Amino acid sequence: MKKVLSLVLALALVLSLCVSASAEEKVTLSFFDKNSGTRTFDDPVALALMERTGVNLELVSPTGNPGEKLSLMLAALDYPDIVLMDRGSDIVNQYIEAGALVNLSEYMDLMPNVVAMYGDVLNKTRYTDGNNYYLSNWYGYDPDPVNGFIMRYDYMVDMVGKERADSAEPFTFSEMVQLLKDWKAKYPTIDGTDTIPLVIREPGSGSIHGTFAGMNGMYPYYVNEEGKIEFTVNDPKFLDAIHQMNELYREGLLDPEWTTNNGELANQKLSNNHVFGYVGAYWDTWTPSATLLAQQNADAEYLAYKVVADGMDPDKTTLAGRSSLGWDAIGITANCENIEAACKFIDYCASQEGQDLLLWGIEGQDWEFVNGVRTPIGDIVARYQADPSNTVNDTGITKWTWFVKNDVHPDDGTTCRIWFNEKDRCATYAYQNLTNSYYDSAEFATLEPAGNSIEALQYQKVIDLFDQAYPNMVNAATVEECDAIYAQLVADMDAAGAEAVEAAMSEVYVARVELWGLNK
Amino acid sequence: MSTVTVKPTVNNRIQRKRTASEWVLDIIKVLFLTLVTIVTIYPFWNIFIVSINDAQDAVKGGLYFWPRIFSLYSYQEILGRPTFQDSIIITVSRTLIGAPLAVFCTAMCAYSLSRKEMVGHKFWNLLFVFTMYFGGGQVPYYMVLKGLGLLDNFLVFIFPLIMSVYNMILIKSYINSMPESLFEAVKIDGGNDLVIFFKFVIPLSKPILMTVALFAAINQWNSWFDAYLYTSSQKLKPMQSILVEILNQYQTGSTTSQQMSNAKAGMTVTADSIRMAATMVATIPIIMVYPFIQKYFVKGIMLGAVKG
Amino acid sequence: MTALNHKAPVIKPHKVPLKRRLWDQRYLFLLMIPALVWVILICYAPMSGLYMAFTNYRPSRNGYFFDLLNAPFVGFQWFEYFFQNDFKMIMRNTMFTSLLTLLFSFPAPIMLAVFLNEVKNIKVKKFVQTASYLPYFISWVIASNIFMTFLAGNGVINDLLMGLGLIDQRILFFQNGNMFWWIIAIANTWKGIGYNAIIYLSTISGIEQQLYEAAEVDGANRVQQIFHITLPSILPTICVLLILAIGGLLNTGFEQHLLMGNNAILNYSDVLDTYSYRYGLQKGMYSYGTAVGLFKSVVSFILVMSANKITAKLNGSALF
Repeated sequence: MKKVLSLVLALALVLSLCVSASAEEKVTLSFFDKNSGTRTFDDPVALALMERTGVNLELVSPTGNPGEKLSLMLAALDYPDIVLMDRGSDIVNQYIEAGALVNLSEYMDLMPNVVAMYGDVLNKTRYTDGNNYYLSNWYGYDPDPVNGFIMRYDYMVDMVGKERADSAEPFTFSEMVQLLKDWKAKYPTIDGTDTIPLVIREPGSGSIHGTFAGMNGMYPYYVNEEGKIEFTVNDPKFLDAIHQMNELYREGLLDPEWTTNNGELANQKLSNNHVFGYVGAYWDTWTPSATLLAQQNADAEYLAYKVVADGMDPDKTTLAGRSSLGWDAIGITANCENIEAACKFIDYCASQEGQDLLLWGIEGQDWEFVNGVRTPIGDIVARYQADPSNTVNDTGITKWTWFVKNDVHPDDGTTCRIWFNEKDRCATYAYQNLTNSYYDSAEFATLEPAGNSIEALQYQKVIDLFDQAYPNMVNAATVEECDAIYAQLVADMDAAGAEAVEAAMSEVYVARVELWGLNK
Repeated sequence: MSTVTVKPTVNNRIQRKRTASEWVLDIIKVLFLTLVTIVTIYPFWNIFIVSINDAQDAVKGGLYFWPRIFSLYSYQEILGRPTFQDSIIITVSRTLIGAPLAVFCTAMCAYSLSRKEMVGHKFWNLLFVFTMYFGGGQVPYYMVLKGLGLLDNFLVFIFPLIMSVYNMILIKSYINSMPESLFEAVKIDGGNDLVIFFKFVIPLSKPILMTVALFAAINQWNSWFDAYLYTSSQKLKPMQSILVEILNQYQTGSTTSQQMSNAKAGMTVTADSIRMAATMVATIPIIMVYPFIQKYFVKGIMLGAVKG
Repeated sequence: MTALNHKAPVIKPHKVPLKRRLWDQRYLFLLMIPALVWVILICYAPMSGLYMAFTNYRPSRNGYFFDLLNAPFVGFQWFEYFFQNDFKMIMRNTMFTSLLTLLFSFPAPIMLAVFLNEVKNIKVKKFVQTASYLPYFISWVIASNIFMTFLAGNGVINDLLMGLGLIDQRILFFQNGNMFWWIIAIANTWKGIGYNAIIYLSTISGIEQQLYEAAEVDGANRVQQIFHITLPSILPTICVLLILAIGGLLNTGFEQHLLMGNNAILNYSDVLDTYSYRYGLQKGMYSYGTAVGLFKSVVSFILVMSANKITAKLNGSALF
């Protein structure tokens, strides 16, 4: 009897062990997402993702500068299982060179969905040794517009009439200048405040404003006749673009404090009633538009218009530089103990089903197929339009943007993100007006010399010189002064070793053009 | 003990007529203090009114003295964050454990280094001062913490902060200003260094110890960078990390790729009033501590403490 | 307490043999142990990383120490590049910013503490004191936006100056390099005044009340009391803080520069801290960043030691 009892007990023990073991079989993966900010991984989409993949995901999010944390983790071999970093920065190459990223090419047979979805992108994101170490995020042909003149619609109607304000025909730069002058003359002050025709945000680093570069058809670097890379100052159109900006400044059409406009100060100006327009990406004005619509009138909204340099073919503008290879790089690190599980997790996220979960939400709850077409359920899109941040946070839809493919769904033609399926007026105008301006910026990405070399220091020096001279050229009191600063800049850049840097970058570029078959 | 005189804490100055120079002094004094008060309190007031203003309206700016549209939404938004409550526990415990420990260790070291007869006095002093200016950088420091097993460990908030050479120098110079005869008298009475330190130095240096305690507490309260670099688990996140994340929304979105990702995901930047509310939430508790410490700065308290 | 007593008349230490002195001072060493452990582990152990400045360090999978030891030695290459290129401009900006900051931010807390000491109304005193240290808690992200809003072309300061008729054209404060140094100096002073005054206040509270009473009996007025009692009493503290401030001259802080500076005045706003951040940390150039940092350390250390020597000569008492 005793024997039987102990046997039963032992069996029960073994059984319970088995049960608990299988319950704990769930793999835990840690994931560093440089974009995640304050978001927590506990929304419906996150939970569904963990349930469907059988993976317990631990999110590591950055508080300060993600680059710093990534550098530290790299040096100390302390990276989590999966890392998402900036594809355009040198850090990706450092991770690969250090052997911190797993060679994904060896695991491709575990990721059939990745192979199917990424296609040619996998070839273009190969490292110099021919292997894939990371997968892109926000990859693929991306038809979304970006830059333009984002003007107050009610003032546009007021100045040029509703028909012209609604038409897709681009404005020439001279037309726009005249329009701004007329507006300024008509409204020297509004509500007792001096009006500002155009607001621009503080200059970024290393290039002139995307809209002005784009309306002249410039690229991030100048490709000369020999197919070599040069800094944009050598682009024959560079001075035209600078002169255009300088003209706006001299005529008092540009916010004189544009160099100090950070996002917050720019939004302050834009959400008050005394600004005509903004130059930049069409989504930059979402926040001020919301305030104006609530406090002014139903047409007090910033909408995108295309402006082209005089004599420029509107279809040759480059207002929307987008990388078909994506903005972020996601890789599995050498610290990952269960690479197979990580691959399966990635494969699910990258699959169409996974993408729909991340970007459309849970099927049957947030959306459903109606006659084979993805259709949002209930008021979810309306909720988003009323309160984007909280809706994204609560539902989890587009909160986790991983392995995102920019494209419409091949089966029903809907967009890849639920929110943008029905375009609001702002997006409608951007898509209607900012057409034929896309170029793939991927060929110009990460050309700069790698860290810890004299060339890298020289590169930074050249960029510093440029950053310093550019706002001063724009703010010059006369065209002559502007040209003098330009001449000085070119001389300084040469002295700082621009040619050596250009040579190093050209080498990478020429090899890339060959590899991708881009020969023009 | 003859050098220690006990003094009343009450201010009992003889009232006389003001002289001309005293008039000038009083005018300068009032002007200076008024100016300082205005320029220091106004920005805080400004932050406060923006924090209780409607978030969407606050984007317009131009809020100077009173809120335009009153709303406590920003505070609800911050205090309602699920991780927020847990993070308060971390911040409070690191402050309550870390600050007293820091004062204690720093004061002990300061006393030892203040004794000029100590063997190697100069060497020990230099050993500490040197570290104020030389450091190995982030990576080797990280490796040391890793070796000590402090990574992702609550103690990483405590141990690296148990000492501060700057504060040590402050305490040391305070001890140096005490009459040497006091120490000699105790030694003649047969008291050793431990007796001197615990029975005389600590009570006599209360004002500076309180100052250092305040500095250490503020430092602990405001720290988030160590949590960011040296811990990875959510459970160890201090309150400041969450608030800094809110505060820096504009800054962290500074790379093109981040802006793109956020814009495409449909995330908008944090409204002004939420950032201002974050500042209020982060600072008001620690500011409340100050008045309690202030009483140690009232004249005469120091000598009164040794009475008996 | 009696258990700890020992018969040791430590009066003339120098005639006592070393062993005996060490034994007599055993409690002094005991008190120092926690600090000693701390300084060795937290401060000195990581200093091995300074070697990075002379190599071309790149991380690999072999771990940090292996990489460091096997990194190619490049001697003073990084230092040379720094001195040949940006050194002059960066040092000029750093020194101007920090000297201006010192000019304002050093006397201001002393004045605040001395004046506060003269305030008799306890409530007013507490209020001013608490108010003065509020800015310390405002992060630079918010503080810089407050400054930029107030100093904007249509900001309050310009309105005020225009209203008073002091200027006839609005000043664009942030587009003038020279003004930027002043703005940073004033911002730093504003942020630190109350916090730094606490040290002086605590020192003032240690002054024996008897001294004031005696002076009053002697007929000294309050101005004389300030110059003959208060200031001399806090002079040692002033010296200590001055020495430390001089040692910190190269620490200009980088957040305020990064947030308030702009490209148009980069040749005025770029200081050592922002420079090493941009070239070192942001770009992951470990070696160059370490080299610039090491240069800063050496100069700071020389500065603080010289300041210490000079005060020792003038004052008779050195800080260390």
